[in-house]
Amino acid sequence: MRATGQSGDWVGIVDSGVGEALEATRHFRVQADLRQEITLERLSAFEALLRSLLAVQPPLTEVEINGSVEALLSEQALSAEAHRAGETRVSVLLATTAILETLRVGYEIAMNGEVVS
Amino acid sequence: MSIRIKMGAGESYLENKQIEARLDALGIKLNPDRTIDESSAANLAGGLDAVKALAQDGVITADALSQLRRQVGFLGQITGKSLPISEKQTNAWRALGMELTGTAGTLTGITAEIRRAGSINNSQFHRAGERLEALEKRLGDLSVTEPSQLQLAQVAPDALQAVATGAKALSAAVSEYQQTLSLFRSAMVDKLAEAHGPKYRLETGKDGSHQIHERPGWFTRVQINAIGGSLLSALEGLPTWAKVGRLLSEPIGSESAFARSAPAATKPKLDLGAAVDQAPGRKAIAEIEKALGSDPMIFPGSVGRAFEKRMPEQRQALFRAVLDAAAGDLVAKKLVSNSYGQIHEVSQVPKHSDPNASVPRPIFRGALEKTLKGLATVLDALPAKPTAAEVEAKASQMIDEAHYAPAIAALYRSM
Repeated sequence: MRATGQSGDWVGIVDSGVGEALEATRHFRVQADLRQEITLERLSAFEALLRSLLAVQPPLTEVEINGSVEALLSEQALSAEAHRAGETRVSVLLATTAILETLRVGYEIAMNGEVVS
Repeated sequence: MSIRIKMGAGESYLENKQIEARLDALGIKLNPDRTIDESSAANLAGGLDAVKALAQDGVITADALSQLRRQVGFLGQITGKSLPISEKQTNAWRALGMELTGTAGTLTGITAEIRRAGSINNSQFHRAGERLEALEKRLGDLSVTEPSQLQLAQVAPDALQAVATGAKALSAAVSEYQQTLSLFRSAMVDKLAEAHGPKYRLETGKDGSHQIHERPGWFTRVQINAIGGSLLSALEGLPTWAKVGRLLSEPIGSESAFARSAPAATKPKLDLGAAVDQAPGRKAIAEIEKALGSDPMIFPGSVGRAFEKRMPEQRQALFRAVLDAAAGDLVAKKLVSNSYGQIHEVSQVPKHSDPNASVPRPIFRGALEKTLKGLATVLDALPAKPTAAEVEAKASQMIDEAHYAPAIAALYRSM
């Protein structure tokens, strides 16, 4: 996945995806806390979601840092794209943290034999 | 660094003197060797205008102009006086660049090991953890996540570039490492599901009755250790990753060290002797807390509305009283940024964000509460009628004490 030169609003798309990932994670976390519908398949699915979030972090960081350096060299303000990439990067980080924490709870349940089929 | 002023061919003595006088009038004195440097400029902002004019006249080259603009931009607008590049600061940032690159290399090596061997172990987690700890220590030593304007102004640009390169490499390496750990867990789970089938099994007895058999826990002790260790290792790296991500994003080109569009001298001077009224700030905090209710997750739209629409006067009073009037935008944004986990600046919901957008961007209650608590603490720690200088000092102290990791921890708790 390339961070720069993408057609369309790449950062915006990532941003929307992060919001949806957080919503899904929140839902999963509630179910985990209530010991509902924790299956191995769902754990695996959330691992995949985690990987997709991890994959967008480096390109976002690159856009942000490149924008920062460009702003430095050209003595211009940080571009809107770089600014948004920075915000989205932080959102991705938060979502990553949330999923990891939720996975931890999910695996704890599975380890205790509470997983349902 | 000095810049030679090139004189046109065939330039007369009179023209020469005119240029010198023009520079002199704007605060720049030409050195005997026809160069200008930091010590030449008594008034760098005025000097910059002079040099621009000279460039337009074709007297100096574009490269020389670019160099001087950088010099003036770095130094003049930050300090208002000349400030040389510091070898010590530059070396510290170069070392950080090397540390970032080294950590990226270590993580890449561990990732390759895991992929090659198809297994994970505690030794790998420890190595990753130790390397990240060393990086964290250097980040802490340098205070690079909250670099002072003075520090950054003294760092040579190539060192900043090295840090940028290292940060990008580390970001990619951490991502790869964590993805590999995740793949490992997924593979384990897939195998388990395939081998053991569903958790509950229905058996039909000879008499036609049905019995539900529950299987014991899915994972063996070794598998539990592998999963637990990989999750822990992944979580441990996140705060450092977050710091690396914001290494250059905040100071450069934003509103802090390298913003050069408006010299500080043009901003209204703060009246540090004036008393600050705390009541509007306290009222705003109470109203915001009330507006948020008990929902564990809040959205920027609601925050934006709370700040921008429901209580605009109180909001303005809050920031005027606690932050803006005392310490300026920089303090306000840094305090909020620290407490907020760098999600949004309370004082400025990003313009591109539509509060009514169909896909909200969640932020967490814990982070906002931390912000509010921070603001309230500033107020609590002050005397009844503090001066703006006292507010500024307290706010600065809090900023120094703030750390990104606790913000992340607060976010963990808020989930």
